Amino acid sequence: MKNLKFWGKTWLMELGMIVVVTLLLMLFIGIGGREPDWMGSGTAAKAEMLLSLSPWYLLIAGALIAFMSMIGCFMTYLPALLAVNCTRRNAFWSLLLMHLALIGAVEILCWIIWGRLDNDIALSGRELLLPAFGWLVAAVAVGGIMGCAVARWGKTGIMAAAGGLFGGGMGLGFYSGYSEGFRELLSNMAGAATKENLFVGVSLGGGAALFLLMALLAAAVIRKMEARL
Amino acid sequence: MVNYISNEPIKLLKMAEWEEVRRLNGILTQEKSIYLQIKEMIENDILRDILLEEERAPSTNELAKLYAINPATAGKGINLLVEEGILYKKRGIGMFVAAGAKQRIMAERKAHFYSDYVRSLMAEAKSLGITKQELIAMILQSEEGGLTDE
Amino acid sequence: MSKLIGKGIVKNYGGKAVLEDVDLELESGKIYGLIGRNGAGKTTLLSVLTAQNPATKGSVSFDGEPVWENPRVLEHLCFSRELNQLSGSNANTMKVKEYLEIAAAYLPHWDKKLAARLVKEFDLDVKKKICKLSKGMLSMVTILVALASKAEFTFLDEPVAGLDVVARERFYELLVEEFSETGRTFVISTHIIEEASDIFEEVIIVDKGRILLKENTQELLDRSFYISGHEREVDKAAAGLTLHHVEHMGRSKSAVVLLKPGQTIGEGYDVSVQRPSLQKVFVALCGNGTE
Repeated sequence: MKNLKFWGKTWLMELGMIVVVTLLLMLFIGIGGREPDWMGSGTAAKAEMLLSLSPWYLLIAGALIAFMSMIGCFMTYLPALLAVNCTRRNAFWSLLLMHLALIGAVEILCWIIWGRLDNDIALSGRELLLPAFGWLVAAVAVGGIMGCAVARWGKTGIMAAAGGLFGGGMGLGFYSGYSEGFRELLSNMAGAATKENLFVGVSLGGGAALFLLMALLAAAVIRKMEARL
Repeated sequence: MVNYISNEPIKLLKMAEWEEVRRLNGILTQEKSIYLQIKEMIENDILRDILLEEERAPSTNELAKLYAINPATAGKGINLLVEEGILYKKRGIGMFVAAGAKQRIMAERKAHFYSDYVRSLMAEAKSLGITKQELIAMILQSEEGGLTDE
Repeated sequence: MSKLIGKGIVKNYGGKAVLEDVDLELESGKIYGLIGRNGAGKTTLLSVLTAQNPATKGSVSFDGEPVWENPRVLEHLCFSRELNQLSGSNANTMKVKEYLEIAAAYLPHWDKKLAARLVKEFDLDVKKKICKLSKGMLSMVTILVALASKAEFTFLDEPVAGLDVVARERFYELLVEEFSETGRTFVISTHIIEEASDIFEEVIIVDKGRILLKENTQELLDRSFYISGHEREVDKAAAGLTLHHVEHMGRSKSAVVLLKPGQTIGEGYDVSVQRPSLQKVFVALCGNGTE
């Protein structure tokens, strides 16, 4: 399919960026980090430690890049695709599938890395693999929603959406700061340990719900989108 | 169909497209349909021995490209020439100037000489009050073209 | 022979009607000229015909099949629109190279060799971002995509807008060459009417969101006349005819008339009758002063 040519290339490029960002993050943050003392010193141990932490950074980079890529697609690629006769249906599905494939690849990488190691970090990491996927999906979804905002309302739209998100986050932060009950809920959730199905459920479910919302918005926006360059 | 040209100075109409440059320069004017101008251009080339008989004439596409016109238009002009026996088609090779084309063109134009040139000459002369005698005198004294009867 | 047919096309933008009840039939193997004033709706019409933007009402079909969201039909079409340095979307931050790659991926008949040849001829820096290109270069990209698409029906929106006269003449040359070779249909919207008028087999005039006329160029010119003289004589000679773009200067009056079948200009009056250029006819029809 002709789609594969374009979206495949884009997928590869984005994946490459994720790897690069991961390495950069590890370089700047990882090195400054403390060394857990249950690991012996020596290059082999250091290497193992870095490797065990890398999926964390992969996840962060993955979320970040996937988020930005979604917005970028709405702003740049989609209008251009429509201009060369790509159908909206095609554009919609390819957009979603590519990004799912992108975070899927990240997830698989994390799974492989943590799967092959046996230290504490890897073990606790493995427990988080499922909810982590939910977070990745959420990142794609939020990116898509912002993308819809910018497609519909231009640059002001994305400012507004970003502002809304930031404000929402701040509000939540303040609320949690003041409300005892809310803080208790949060600590219960965190302390509920990753083994709690609730946590996994919320992460995956939340991610999926956001994704569905985003898909609906995207379908509407793409349908009305004007092909433009 | 009404087709007469006015005698009023072109300048009055203040538009650049009203060039009175004649077809001899190969520039297309507004006065006649493009395909007719193409036809006449090729005829002129034949008359002036730029295109000799049995030589290959420019193709439709070559003309279209040269003058930035639609190939269909160029083709129309060429077809007229084929109909009148000025050009003929050699299958797979192109258009060629027919034998006797030059004579045919001259005869055709001679037949129209009166309506193409003389009539408007007479009309203009009349409006300027030039008598027929004066006209004849001008013609006899003229150095350009035309053979004098002995 | 294929046909692209638009029926009853209406397009509204924010409450304003940009296209009103447009019916249009385009046949393969022709070069059409689309002319109209700024804001007449040319670009919108081209967008809707190629399903790049949805019509508010009406339909567009290609050989009987609807064009909207129909990849089978879209394969035959290409709309190369005018590129701007600033545009609504951010798509013009893309590099030329990227744009061409996208075009190559999605336009099934894309001719890579031709594209490469044209990049070289136009001296295009494909590494540059679209928003950083000069007006001339932007036009060249539009032309390149249109020609290399090798689509059966190719639409160009203002392809010569940024070009100097030498480049424009080269474009007409390329166009005629491509047309001669392939017989592809081209629909070209332009403001520079006179230069291109000889290339258009048919001309379509769009005015205020409607099709004013669609006619074989030569036939249109054959029935168009520019009458001038003393106003009394002009009125007598043009009795019963619609006068367009009437101009007065002292006692003289001039106007453009388009004869409908059966109509003639009165004979024997002291008026001068000349042939207007396509541009003059257009200005007469779409300007003011119709009596």
